[in-house]
Amino acid sequence: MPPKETLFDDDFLKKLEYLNLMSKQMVPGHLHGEHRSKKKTSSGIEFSDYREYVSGEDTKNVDWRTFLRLEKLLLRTFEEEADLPIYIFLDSSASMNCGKPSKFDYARKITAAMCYVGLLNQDRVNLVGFNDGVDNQLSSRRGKSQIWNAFRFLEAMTTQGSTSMAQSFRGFFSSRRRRGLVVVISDFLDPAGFERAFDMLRHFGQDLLAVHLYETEERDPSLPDEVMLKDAELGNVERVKITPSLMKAYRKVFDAHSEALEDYCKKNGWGYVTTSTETPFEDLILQVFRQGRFLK
Amino acid sequence: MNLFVANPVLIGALTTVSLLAIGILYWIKPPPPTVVVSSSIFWTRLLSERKKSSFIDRLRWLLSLIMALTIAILLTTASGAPELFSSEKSEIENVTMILDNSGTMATFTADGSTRWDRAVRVARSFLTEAHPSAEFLILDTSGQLVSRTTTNKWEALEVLEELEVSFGNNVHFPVFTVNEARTMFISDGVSSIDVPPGIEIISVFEPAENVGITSLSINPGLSGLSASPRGLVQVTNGSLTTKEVSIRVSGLGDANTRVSLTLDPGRSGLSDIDLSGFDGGPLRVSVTSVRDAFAEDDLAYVIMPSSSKYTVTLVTSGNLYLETALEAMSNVNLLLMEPEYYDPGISTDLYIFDRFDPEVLPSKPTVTFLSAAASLPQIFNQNIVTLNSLERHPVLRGVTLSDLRIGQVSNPSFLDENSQILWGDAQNPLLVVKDFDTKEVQIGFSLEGSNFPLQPAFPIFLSNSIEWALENDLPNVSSPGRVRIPLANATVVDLEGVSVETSYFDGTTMFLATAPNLYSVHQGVDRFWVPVNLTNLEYTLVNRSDLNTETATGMSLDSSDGLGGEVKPILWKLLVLMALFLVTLEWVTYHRRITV
Repeated sequence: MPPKETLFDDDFLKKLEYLNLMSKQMVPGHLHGEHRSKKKTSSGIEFSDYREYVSGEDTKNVDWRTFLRLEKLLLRTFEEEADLPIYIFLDSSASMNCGKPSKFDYARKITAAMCYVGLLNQDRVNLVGFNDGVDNQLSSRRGKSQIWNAFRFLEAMTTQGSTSMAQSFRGFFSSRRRRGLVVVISDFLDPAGFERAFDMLRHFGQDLLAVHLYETEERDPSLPDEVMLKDAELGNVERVKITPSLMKAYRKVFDAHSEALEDYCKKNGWGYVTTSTETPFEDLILQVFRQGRFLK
Repeated sequence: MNLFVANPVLIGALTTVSLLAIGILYWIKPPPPTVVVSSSIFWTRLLSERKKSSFIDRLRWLLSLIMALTIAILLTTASGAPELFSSEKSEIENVTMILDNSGTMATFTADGSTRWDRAVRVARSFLTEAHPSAEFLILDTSGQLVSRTTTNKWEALEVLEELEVSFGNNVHFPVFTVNEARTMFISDGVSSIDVPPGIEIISVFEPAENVGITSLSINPGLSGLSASPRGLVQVTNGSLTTKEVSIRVSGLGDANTRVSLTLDPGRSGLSDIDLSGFDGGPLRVSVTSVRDAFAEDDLAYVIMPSSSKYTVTLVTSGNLYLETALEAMSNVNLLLMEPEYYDPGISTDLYIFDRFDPEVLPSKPTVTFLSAAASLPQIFNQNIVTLNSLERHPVLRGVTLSDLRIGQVSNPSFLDENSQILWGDAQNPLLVVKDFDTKEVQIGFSLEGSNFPLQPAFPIFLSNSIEWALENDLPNVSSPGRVRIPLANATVVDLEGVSVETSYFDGTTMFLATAPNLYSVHQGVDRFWVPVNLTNLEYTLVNRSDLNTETATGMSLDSSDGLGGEVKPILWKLLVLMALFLVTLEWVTYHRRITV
């Protein structure tokens, strides 16, 4: 009986090990669970700042030496040391099923790799599959042993439906969620656009890493002179006469979409990487690592 | 300028069909293929922006349609071989074109084609470049074309293709109504054709080398008189140089013999060939020489009579002429018999009755010299000149009688429904043959009452009669052309066994012998040979022409004397080139998305 083909085979696992090693070399000082929170607390090891004492607060952190010198009650604050959650949103809409290999398979490998590195870093990793809403999710996991659950979850995922990031984020973050890093792996072909959905993440105070996938044929399609274009998600058909100028304009629109995504992310201090499915996924992961957002 | 096309109706119909086809192809297109894309949001956005430029698309479509239509029109017009003529020349000449298709036109020239090919080429060149409004009458010297109706140039070209060289003897300048048309005669000038004055003669003559058989016989009518059969072959050198000639005679089985001759230009040589090694039957005689340009006279056929002896019983009371003549025949065993000892059942091949009318006829062939019953009111005096043709009965072949005198004739009561009078009439039947159960030859006058036995032709006549009665007579030799056989409803096949088309008229069978051959004629179980030979000095002397290699009227073979306006024969080529250019342009613009 031939061995069952699996998305995450031995080669893939070896590459994950390699990526893990690379992550340690690229960010040498980072420790497990050392993702720093922006929240300042009165307890902790690493000093952060001073602030004025407010009546009713515990006086144990009042800096008496400063009071004697400046005659002001100042409290010492410390950075909160917490394992921040990572929310990996994987686009499972029908458009992700296009290409050879499909964008979805490619995205699942990226997701698996990021999940692996995150779990090894003792981060809490949430996996969320979304299309026009939250399709399925694997709740917060921690520790290396959880990687197999993550693999099973990813392998069981299928593509269907259209894309609505705003609806998906609203559905997920409407329940109480801790602030963390949101990784969105998608082709970002959302008929409603990405701006509203990203605004929502900003509103929830989430950090964002946008991983934009596309296939080469998507950017430079080889089409006959006249063609019926069928939308993989919506199913609507458009009769188009292909001309060189139209193809040129199409590429311009496509590139403009990517640039808009990148600009939006930069403006908000978020991370953005884009790649075609022809790029080896490990190269993309290394690119993500170099950005420093995923590994701190 | 005027535009003429070969068939405007056809071109019009073709153009309409092409335009309709193109129109249908443009309007009824198969649906384009469906391609699934990740999302159509970019395309929808683009197309909504591009709706403004739909005018350009319509323009592209229109340009493409115009190009396709232009290509179709150009090609269909070119298929009609259009020609552009200047309308300035007011007079359009009508032409009567006479082509010499006599046998010598089959002579090969130095370029490998025949004189006939050159003649057709010249005629075609004239016709092709002639004004489309000109009328043409195409005629030939062999009577193949009987129509005297003028045609346009395209129909004339078709008529030209039907003509071929004829080897018949009936060569003459055609009779036609002389009008104001220009008349041209294309010939090699070899055949003896009287060309009326005022005719433009275009020569296709080119000197050629030829050696041919001009006469062939096997002691005609004398086979029984000579010691051994001999063949007489006359060969003529029609070349301009001395020729070494090889004559080969081949018969049934492996029998063959070869003779060589050296002939000076224009000279004939006679070869007397001993045929004792041949058993009889068809003989093939061929001559070979270097660079022979006319093949049809290099081959001839002849039928050699069987050399076997036969027994002839002469029933007579005594006839010195007959006995002497029969005893002189080498292939006859003569048996003399008195009339009172006549026995119809003895072993013999043929009976000759001399003034004896038997009560019981034998079952064998007979030759009867009848008793004289009455004297002619006046002495019959006639010269008979033999004609070596099929119209002449085999009994009379080779028989030349001069100053024959007949004084007494027999009673015509011996005539019946099977009698065929060869000589004389129903009142005075002088020579009668019957071919019913057995063959009979009846001579209706007394030998003693005439000077016939004293004529040199008497033994020939006697030999012919015996050979014919024994069905061993020499076949008639004919020339190419229409051959008539004195047999009703016979079938004819050539040497290759191919059946020849025949027609029947007045108890005879006719067929057309287009070239020298040996034909086999069948009627029931009977069969005989008809050799058709081109043994004619007029054909062999292929250089006997008054014309030069240049035309008699000074016109060059390759130049065309304009028969109409200024000719633009390359117009159709230009149209095709334009169509090809447009096809290329369409291809380029299509692949650059300029056209659809």
